[in-house]
Amino acid sequence: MGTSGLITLAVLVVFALYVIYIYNQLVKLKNQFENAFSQIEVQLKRRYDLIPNLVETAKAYLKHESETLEAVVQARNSAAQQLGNARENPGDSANISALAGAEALLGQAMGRLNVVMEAYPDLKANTNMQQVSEELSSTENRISFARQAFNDAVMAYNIFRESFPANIFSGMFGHNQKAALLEFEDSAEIAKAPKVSF
Amino acid sequence: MNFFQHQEKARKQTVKLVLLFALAVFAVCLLTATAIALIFGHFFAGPTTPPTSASALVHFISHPAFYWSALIAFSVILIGSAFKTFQLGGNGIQVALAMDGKYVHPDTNDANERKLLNIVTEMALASGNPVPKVFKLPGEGINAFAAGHNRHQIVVAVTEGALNQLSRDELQGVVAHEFSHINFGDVKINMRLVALLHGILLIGHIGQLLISGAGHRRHRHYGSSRRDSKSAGIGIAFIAIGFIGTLCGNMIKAAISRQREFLADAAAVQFTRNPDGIAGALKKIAGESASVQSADGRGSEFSHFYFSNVSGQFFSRLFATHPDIDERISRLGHKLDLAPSNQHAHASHNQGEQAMGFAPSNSQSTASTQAADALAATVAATLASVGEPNCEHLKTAEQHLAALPRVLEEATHDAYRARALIFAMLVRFSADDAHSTQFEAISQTEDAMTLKQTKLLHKALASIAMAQCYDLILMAEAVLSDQSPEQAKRFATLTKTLISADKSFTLFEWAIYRLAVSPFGTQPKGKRSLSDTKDALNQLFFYLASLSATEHRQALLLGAQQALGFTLAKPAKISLKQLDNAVETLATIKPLHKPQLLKALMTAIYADGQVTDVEMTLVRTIALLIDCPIPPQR
Repeated sequence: MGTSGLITLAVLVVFALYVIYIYNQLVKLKNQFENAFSQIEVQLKRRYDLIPNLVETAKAYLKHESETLEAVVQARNSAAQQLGNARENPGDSANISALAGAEALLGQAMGRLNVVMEAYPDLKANTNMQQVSEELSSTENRISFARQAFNDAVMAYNIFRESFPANIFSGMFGHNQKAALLEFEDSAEIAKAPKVSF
Repeated sequence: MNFFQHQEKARKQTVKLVLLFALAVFAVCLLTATAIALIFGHFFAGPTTPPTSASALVHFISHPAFYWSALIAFSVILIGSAFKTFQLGGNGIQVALAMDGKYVHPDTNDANERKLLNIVTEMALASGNPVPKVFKLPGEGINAFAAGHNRHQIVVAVTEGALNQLSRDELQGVVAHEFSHINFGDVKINMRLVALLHGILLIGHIGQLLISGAGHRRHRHYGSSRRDSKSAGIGIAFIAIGFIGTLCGNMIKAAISRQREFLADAAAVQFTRNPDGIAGALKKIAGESASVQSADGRGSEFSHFYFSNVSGQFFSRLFATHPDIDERISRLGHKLDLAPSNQHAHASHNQGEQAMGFAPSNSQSTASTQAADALAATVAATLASVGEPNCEHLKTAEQHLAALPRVLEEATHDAYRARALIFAMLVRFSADDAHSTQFEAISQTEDAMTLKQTKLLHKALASIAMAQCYDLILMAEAVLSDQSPEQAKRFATLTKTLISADKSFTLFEWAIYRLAVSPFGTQPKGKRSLSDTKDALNQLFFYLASLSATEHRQALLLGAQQALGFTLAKPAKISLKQLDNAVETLATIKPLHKPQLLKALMTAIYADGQVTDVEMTLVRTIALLIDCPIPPQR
């Protein structure tokens, strides 16, 4: 069995190395998008911290718009809660789409608030207000940049997971769920909400 | 022993390490084969005794069961080591994530995390290294590690326990200790150790699996079969062999890493000039109950990475990867009595002499002028500080950081703003009439906010010296690596456009590109001698000469030649592209030849009698690229 045995052993070793490569690649790609999620998380948290500031400042001017403000606060709270769930397991597509949904609602609430604020030039001229909205729009740009990096990482993971030799093993190695992209439904609206001029 | 000698030693140690491991692997394979052959012999051919005579030994070895099990054991070790090598991939982040580390974002609001980030940033800048990413490890024990294959991918991780229990001084001591490992290049060896050891550990794991598997089966259909007891027998043999292998591995690991721990402690004291900090941390660790220290089983695999021992239950003295804590504390106390300031002055004086000793003996400067003396002193001081920063450098770094406008410092917190910061730097160091083209290019590929931020940062950069820009690049490196490959590609394309906007490619633009956009990939091995790299040296010094005023060119080249000890010849073509290749080549010279190169560089920039901010920054960039970080100069 001399040579043929040796060849069999060599083939087995090469095969094992290849499977190991697939396993590690799956782990690495998953780590990568989870790590990318932590970049979004920090910026989203920052956004959720800024919103109460904005609401507090706006309250003094928008005495008759308490409903709009209330909606913003509520949407913010639920989005913050969804973020907490999603960070536990960014690979779970249910968590990610729940976060995306909550973010969309928050975006809509913020959009309405912006429309309302258009009617209050005093509020828009308030320095504190200007600072907070500037900070907010800068944070939103950072979120969308980090989100793009996250989505790229998720795509890389999904593509590798479903590519030919890897798809035989990915289920076996516990990578049986496709990771979800974090898409904000009306990201266009969010992007234009706080106006930037220079 | 200075930095360069230590690097050389580390390089040799790596060779020694590989040889010792090869020996250990050979021993383990042999043992496994013997054990299996004996067990098989016992079950299939009646009881056999181990061979006693030479001919019986030959017969034993030539038995298929023997050589096949040796081959298979070797394959298993190979596969195990390959597994770890793939898994870690040279990247510190993978080590941190493998240990459940949580990324500490520079924008964090947590006071303790902020403290840690500030300490790490100060230390990185003070030692001239890129600021590493910081991770927080779960667990109440006090511990820390640094991991990564090269200076641009390093991660520093600290346990939650350390964050909560240590004072700022103590935490600084711990981080300084880790930075000594980074400075001396110990982390590279450690990455290799983990990968190699894993293969040997795997044999023990297989043994465990076999035993539990046999136990399982026996449980199901009662009445043990021959096969089960055989596999349990093999399992026990595997565990025993794995244990011996691990023991060999740990002895090698301990022999190599224990000395380096003392050295790192000593270097940390020199760095912070505060022996109380690190001693306080060690005392707190000594006071911890053993149960807190290693709740996580995975710790043992990475034990030598850590600041203190993780798995010290068995044979703790002999095989500990880290020296005894009492001994470490008492050595630090000893240091304290020796008055560290004097000791340091003495050390750097020694190194100064050494550095000067590199000059060729036939130097004509018998009538040494004052200027030459001043030059020699500065060169010596700079060389002595490479990889071995002291508290003066730490103070300088703290001052530099404090002087940085907040908006610039914050721009290094995430990839989005860090991009804008790099764009702003490129605009700042281009000709004024190119600015509008550059802003136009940014607005075409990036969003409006990036352009706005770039303009804002450009204004803030107006009064900033190049040395501080260099610091900012070191701070931004880590977050720029958070970009996805697509984003990084777009970033690289745009930086190229911005660089070429003013039709001139300056050395600093090259530095920005090399450090922030596309650092050299792997850490070079360092085998060549200086005289093997004449082409690269010609390119480097003639490029530098082409930048200086015509009247100083001759002096610059002569000075460099004198420091190098051989004649430089004008290369056929001088360009930044060639220079880039040259620096990549120079990164592969032997550590002990590097001081001569650095000395030649320093002498060259002194040719006109003064060192400008720009020149110093360039030397620091080149030095970092050849793995010799120079601390900031005041």
